[in-house]
Formats: sequence, C-alpha cells, structure tokens
Amino acid sequence: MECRVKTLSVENLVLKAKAGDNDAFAQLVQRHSEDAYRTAFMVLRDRGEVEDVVQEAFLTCYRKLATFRMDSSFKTWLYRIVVNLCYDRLRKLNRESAAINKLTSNFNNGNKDMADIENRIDLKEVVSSLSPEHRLVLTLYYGMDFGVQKVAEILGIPVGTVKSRLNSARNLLKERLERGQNYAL
Amino acid sequence: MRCEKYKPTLNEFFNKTLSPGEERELEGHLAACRDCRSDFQKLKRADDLLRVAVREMVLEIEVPADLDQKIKSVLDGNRPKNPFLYNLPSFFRTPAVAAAMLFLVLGVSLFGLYDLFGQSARQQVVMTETPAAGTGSREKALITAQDAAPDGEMRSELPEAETDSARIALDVMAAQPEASVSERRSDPPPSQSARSRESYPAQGNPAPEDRGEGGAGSETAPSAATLLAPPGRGGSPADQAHKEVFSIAGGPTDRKGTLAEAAAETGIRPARPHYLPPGAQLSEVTWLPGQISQYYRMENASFAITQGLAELSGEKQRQRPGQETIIINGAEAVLEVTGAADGSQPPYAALSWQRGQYSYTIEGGVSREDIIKIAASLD
Repeated sequence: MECRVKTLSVENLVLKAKAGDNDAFAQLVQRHSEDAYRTAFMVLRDRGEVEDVVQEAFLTCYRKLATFRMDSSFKTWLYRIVVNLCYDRLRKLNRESAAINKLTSNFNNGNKDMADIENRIDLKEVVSSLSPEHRLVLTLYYGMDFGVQKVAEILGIPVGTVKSRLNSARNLLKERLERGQNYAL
Repeated sequence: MRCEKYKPTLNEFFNKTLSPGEERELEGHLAACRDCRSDFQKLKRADDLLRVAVREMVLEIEVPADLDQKIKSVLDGNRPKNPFLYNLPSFFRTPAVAAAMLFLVLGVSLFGLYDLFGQSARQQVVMTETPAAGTGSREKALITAQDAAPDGEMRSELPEAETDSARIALDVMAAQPEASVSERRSDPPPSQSARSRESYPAQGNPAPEDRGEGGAGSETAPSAATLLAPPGRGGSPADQAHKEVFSIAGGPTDRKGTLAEAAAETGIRPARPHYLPPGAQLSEVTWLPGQISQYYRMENASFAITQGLAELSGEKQRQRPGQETIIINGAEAVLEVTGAADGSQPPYAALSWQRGQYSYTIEGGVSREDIIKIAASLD
C-alpha cells in the first residue's frame, strides 16, 4: 500500500471540500477509497458489486457533504454509508442465505463431530463463513482499527452488541485452542 | 471469589474499553493470580490470532489500481446516470464547469418536480461575482473562466450553448448584472445591481427584495459561487470563519432565515414542537424547495427537525438491526438510537415518519425518550 504524506488533516480537507474545493474532496477519496473497498469486499466478495458500492458511497458523500455536521469523523460517516450500501446489495442479491449455506464449519458449530475435519482449520475460512454482520464487526475492529464505539456507530447497532460479538469470537477461539485445535493462518 | 470479578474484564481489556485505572487493577490481579493469568494468556492468543487472520484477509484483497479514477469519473458525472452531459461540447467538461453541471444535475435529480429548464428558471438566474467572497478553487475557476473585473462586473466569453441545459449553465456562470437586471427592471438601484438572485431551482418569480444583508457592499451580496457552494460562503467574513456554518446542514442552495420566510417560500406549513428538551432553543432555520429544517441547540447538544413534502423525501427506509418501529400520533415511525443505553455515551437518536403530505425526520443528540416526546408534540 502506498504511504502518503499527510499534508492536511482530514478535518481540514473536509472543511475545504464542504466549501467547494473539489481537489480537497479528491484527496479525501484517495485517502479512504482503498480501505473502503477492502471493507466492502469483506462483505460482498464480488469485485463488480464492490466497485459499484464504493463509487456510489463517495458520490453520496459528495452530494451530502454540505449536510455532514462533523459531529462524528468523516471516516465513520463514510463507512456508515458504505455498510448501508453493502446491506442493500446483500438484500438485493440474496447473498446472505447463500453464504450461510456454503458453510463447512463455523464458530457456533461446537457440537459437530470434528473427527472428519482436519486438525488444522483455516481460521480465515471460519471468518469468511460468518454472517456478514459478524464478519463486519471483526473487519472493522481488527482490520480497520475502529474502536468499539465507532464500530457500533458504523453498523448502527448498540456498543453492547459489538462487544458481545467480539467476546464470543475470542471466547470460542480460545476454547478451540484449549481443546487442541491448531489453526493455520 | 475475587477472580469472578476479573473474568469479564479480561474481554473488556481486549475490547480496549477499560479505563487506565481498571487496567492497572487488572494487571495487579494478574500478577498475583496464576489462574487468571493463564486465562488471560489464552484469550490474548485468540485475540492475536483473530487480528492476524483478519488483517491478512483484508490485505489479500486486491484493490483495482484505477479505483480512484473510477470514483472521480463518477463524481465528474461521466456515468450514464447523467446522460445529458454526453451531448455537450467538450468545453463543458472542464473541472469548474463539470462541477457546476454536477450541482445542476443533482439539483434536477433531487428536485425533479421542478421545471429547471422552464422559462421561469431561466429568467431567474442572475449572478454577480464578488471577488471578496472567499478563495475556494471552484470560485477561482469561475473567475478565471469569466474574466472578472475588480469591480465585480463579469464578462461572459462562453460559446453559444445548443441545449437548454447548457444555456442554463451559461446563465449560471455568465454574470452580467447590469444587463440582466435591466432586462427586467427599468431602473435598478445601484445597490441592487450588486445583488445576486438565488433562485435555482426557481419557484415562481420572486421579486427582488432586500434580504437584509447590507448595502451594495460586495462582500455581503451572495455571489455566483454561493449558488454552488454551501451557505455562508458569500456571507460576512465572520460567517465564513465561524465553524458553526459547516455544522449546520445545508446544501448548495440552502436558504437561511426565519420560519415565516421558510413557510412562505416553500409553501410548507411548518410544524412546531410543543415539547423541547430542557434548555433547547431554535437557533436556525434553513430551507430548500420542498423542505424546511429547524435547528435547535441545547447546552451540550443539538438536533434538527426536518419536514419535507413526502414525494421528495426520497430516502428509502433501510430496515437495519437496531431500528425499531413505533407509532407517533397514528403514523408508523422508524426509530434508531445510538450511544450506550447505560448513559456512558452521549445519546443520539433519529426518528422518521410520514403523515399526510409531509415526511418528518428528527435527528440529533437527544435521548430516546426526548425524541419521541418532541415528535409527538409537533403540531
């Protein structure tokens, strides 16, 4: 990933962009587009859909920039838009049921007979097999370094729900490790 | 057992939600308790594994090299969503013009009920350029494209437009205050020729009137750029410096003033709340065609009541987890509350509903209880 020198803080860019400076908005795009793409991809898993969502998200930001009240951070606001668009797509494409159906194993599958399953379970596959919202909590917290409060804002769910999702992921993984499962990464 | 007290805090530690004091306390206990220390290590391993796995998954995702380009081309309006841009001569694709066009297009798509290309709209658009008004790059582009003279007069050197839409764009950018104003009035007072007429999208022919913004001083008259920029751009320097301008919702053509003015210009009968949270006062009213927004401020928070014509409200309701449906005076409403229920975070709530010909949204730093009371008290 490119490393760009931050000559202006995001707040300054947002203020300039709100005042009509298109170059400032272009810089906001540059700073956030990659991670926004990756986050959307973690949910949708389809390049075409993700590109559409990211384009639409930034267009929405551009259109609504004047109404952005800067009481949350720009990044949180942008991701909230990205997540909502992803959910819209999921509903349209009905991907949720497809994803759940193609499970081979998941965190909640503690009672399944593990004898037929290799000892080394791909943790990434497990994460992939989670519901989109669970996956999003992990992506935003572990992948994008949002705090639990911001994750809650982005997903529009209570902080308590975010915490309990993280806790159950950690606890279940801890149990598996205790039972001797090795996880390949 | 003392350990019971610390078990839940282990996960809170990894959620990074412990205060420094609580962390110190936990560390103290872990130093002394082997069982908890072992639990902590296992949980830490799980946390580390999750972090590594998720970050690797994220980094493995290949981002298209031209993603930024694609996004920018959407912003420039080169997508099929904006077909009329394809018919324009290439001049209109320069960044400044494209930006102006984008706002026009968005205006049409947002307020499609209005006949942008109709006679009334064309007559209304009279611009002046006020060199004193700010330094946004779009303004600069406009100025250079149009050779602004220091006294504020503009000469238009734009080519003949072939389409109605292009002609509107020409009108928007060609500021010829003397000529255009005199077309409609025989004797424009000097102070009024320096004023612009914010009238896009037009709603009838508003007569020129004193907006109370001061005399012929060019720094107070709204400029060409204000039609394309958020409110406050062409206002007094104090307005521009005041960050609060940006904290108030407003689009490119937001009008600001009294509730009575808003009602008169939009034709909407504004609903007033009869219940307000303690200390709340109406601090600002802005409006667009078909929509009025009332902004209320309390000591540490603010909220907005937006009322619009139901067909224009546009935003489809996404049913998301965390949203609940309640009834406000017989109408079905969607309520969303963020901020911790235990009060550790400031409350924030949003409530939207439709009743009769209007759609309503209340949103801001208010509690669930307050937002429902405000909504129910609207007349």
